[in-house]
Amino acid sequence: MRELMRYARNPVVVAVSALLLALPAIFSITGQPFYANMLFLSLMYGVAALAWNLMQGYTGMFSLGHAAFFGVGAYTVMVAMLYYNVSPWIGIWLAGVMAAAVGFLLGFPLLRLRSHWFTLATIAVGEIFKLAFAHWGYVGAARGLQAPIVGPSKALYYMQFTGPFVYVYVALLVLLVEIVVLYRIVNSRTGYYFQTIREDEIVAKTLGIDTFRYRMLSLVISSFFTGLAGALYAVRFHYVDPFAVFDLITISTYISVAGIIGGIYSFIGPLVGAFIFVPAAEYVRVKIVSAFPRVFGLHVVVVGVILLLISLFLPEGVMGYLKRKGYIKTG
Amino acid sequence: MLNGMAKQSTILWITVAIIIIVIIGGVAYYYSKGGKGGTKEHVIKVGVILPLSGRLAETGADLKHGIEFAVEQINSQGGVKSCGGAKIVIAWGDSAGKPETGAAEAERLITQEKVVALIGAYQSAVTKTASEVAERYHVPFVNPDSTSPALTQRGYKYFFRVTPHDAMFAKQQAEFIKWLNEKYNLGLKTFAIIHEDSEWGSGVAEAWKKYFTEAGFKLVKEVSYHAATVTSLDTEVESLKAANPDVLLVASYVQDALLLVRTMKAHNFAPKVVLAQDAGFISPGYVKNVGKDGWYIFSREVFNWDLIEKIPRLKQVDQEYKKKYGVDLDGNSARDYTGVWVLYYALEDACKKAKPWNDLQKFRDTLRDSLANLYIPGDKLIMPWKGVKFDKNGQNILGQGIVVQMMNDGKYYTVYPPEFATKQPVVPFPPWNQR
Repeated sequence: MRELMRYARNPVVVAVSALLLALPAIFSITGQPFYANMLFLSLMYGVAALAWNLMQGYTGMFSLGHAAFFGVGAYTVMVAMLYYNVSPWIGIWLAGVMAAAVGFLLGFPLLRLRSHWFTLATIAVGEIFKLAFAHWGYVGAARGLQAPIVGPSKALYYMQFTGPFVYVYVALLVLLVEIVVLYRIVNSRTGYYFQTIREDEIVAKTLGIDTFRYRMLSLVISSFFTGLAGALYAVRFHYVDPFAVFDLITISTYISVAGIIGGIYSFIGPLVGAFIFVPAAEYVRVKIVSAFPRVFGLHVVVVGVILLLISLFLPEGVMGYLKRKGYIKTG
Repeated sequence: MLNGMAKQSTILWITVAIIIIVIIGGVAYYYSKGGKGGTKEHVIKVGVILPLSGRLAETGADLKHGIEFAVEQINSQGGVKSCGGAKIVIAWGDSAGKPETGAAEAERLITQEKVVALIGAYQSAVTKTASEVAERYHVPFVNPDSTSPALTQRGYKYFFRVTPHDAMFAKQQAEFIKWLNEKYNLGLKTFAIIHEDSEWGSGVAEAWKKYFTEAGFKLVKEVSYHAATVTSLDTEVESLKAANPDVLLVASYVQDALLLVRTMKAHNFAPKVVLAQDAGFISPGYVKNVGKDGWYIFSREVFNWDLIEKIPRLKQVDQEYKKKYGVDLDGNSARDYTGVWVLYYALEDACKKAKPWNDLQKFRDTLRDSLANLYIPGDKLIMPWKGVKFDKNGQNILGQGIVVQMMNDGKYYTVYPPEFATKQPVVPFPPWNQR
């Protein structure tokens, strides 16, 4: 905690935090939901990418199936609200618990696998969840679930606000909780065990580390916070459907791309990556589609080229690059 | 534990942060005022949300043409006359085919572009979230092209769907079979259903069971299959043949539609009427490959090429459209074209009571009332409809589908309703060896 407090006095951290706190209010006053939404999406993907990186960067498990936890989180908050009348203020945390439970159960088959076999299995898991939810009548099957609009007296209980502004603060709250918890974990004995497993699992075993237990712990914590990110999606858009929240590209892949761009060997890197990748991808799409309306998919090519350039010139991610050049010491 | 230096630099940085925030805020405020948005000149700004990128980008581009073309026509004939000839201007929003992007675009168009109304969004999932935003902001949402029945069951006040939805189509298909009985004395009593098992196919089957049973027909067999993986339909067709229905109802995509028709031929299964639910049966891929095995199969549609002969207005519009874009209007572009005209008629009415440049929100509310009370007779439209009139859920109750049949030249012709028919239906379905 003392470590964290030291960061709280770091001028850059203070400036960025102040900016994040002030921007939604400014956007709200000036009537600019588009930028506020961009901020929200960056935070949402940032929360998921930080969680994803606990597995990838710290424990050495490359997942392309985090949409499973994201989607379960999104569905949990909606089902709790629509069927059990649970306020999303509580439902968000339930979503994390449910996603963690799913992560725990999936851990038994998944953790038998390593390296690329593990990655392939996670892709399959994400797709299986999409298909299963698309046929599950209780949660609306392929139609998904949409929350009805409630009157102003119940808006706070059901977390229904007009425009994206308030949700940015909800996302900031979730992010703060996540940073505090994850920071303490990675700088504890548990965190060092994770990193030992990442470097060499056999060495970790020789040192007496119960590798299954710690890989499981990493997976469960990671799925918990990814579930929170999914819950943010559901409360923000009052809507969930299997194709939106279990998507292999726009959820699983985006999360990992954000992490890789930011730098997986940096604690805060994935968050930085989300703040670079999400607005950049959105900007490219808007500009390319309006400039070349009938060249379908050109924006995807452009994003692909950008990613290629980053992987060629910044293989260690933005934060890794800054560290190597000596601009920052930690983070 | 703070020492003097650290304290000072913290304060310094906080000051810097505040200055940055103020500058950004000022710039943002300047832009929002000086604005792109707004309705300063006498124009009427309408927001359109379509899948202009993503998997459905190609469809989205066609829909965009339908909208642009309607706006051009309206503006060239003098704009919205009761608003002093104000021109309609479109502010585009790309949904990327994603519900969350559609919602964000709706927010942007409403608050930043300050549109009077929204049109969109093709995919039912995107229409759901985008229209929810519009409902919150009290902005009319005209939906020309989404057919999920759930959209008009939400009790929204600002949502107006111009196209008929899937349940209305099912009801009309039951009426079509009754009409065949009356006119051709076929004595059709029983029906069977074969459908692919996704959301769409299962939903269609549910609606068929409801409306065909209500109309007095008896269900003798229902089978489903998974379209993505199906390689053989032999067992399914055998069990259907054993049930011996008078009418076979089919909900299929492209490859499975081809497989079904060929399997039916192989098993010599020829019920008196085979009626499909557009999708696979009207796709170019199916029409090209099915050959004469596809003859005399009926399909429900929203639009067909031969309507040009029956709807005078359509002929002229289609000619100009083809000159401009090189293709004929289809069911999608024609419905979006119609959506713009529906909004135009409502604008003419609303402009008599309020003006968008005086009080935008008051104008939006007036426009909502105009839409709710709107009546457009069928002869002003290019669609095979009785007209446009919204019920209290915002559903157009005068819309309808048509039934087409593939004749022995491999083309679909409209056979129902009679006022739009260009050919008499060929019934009963001839045996496979007599063609």
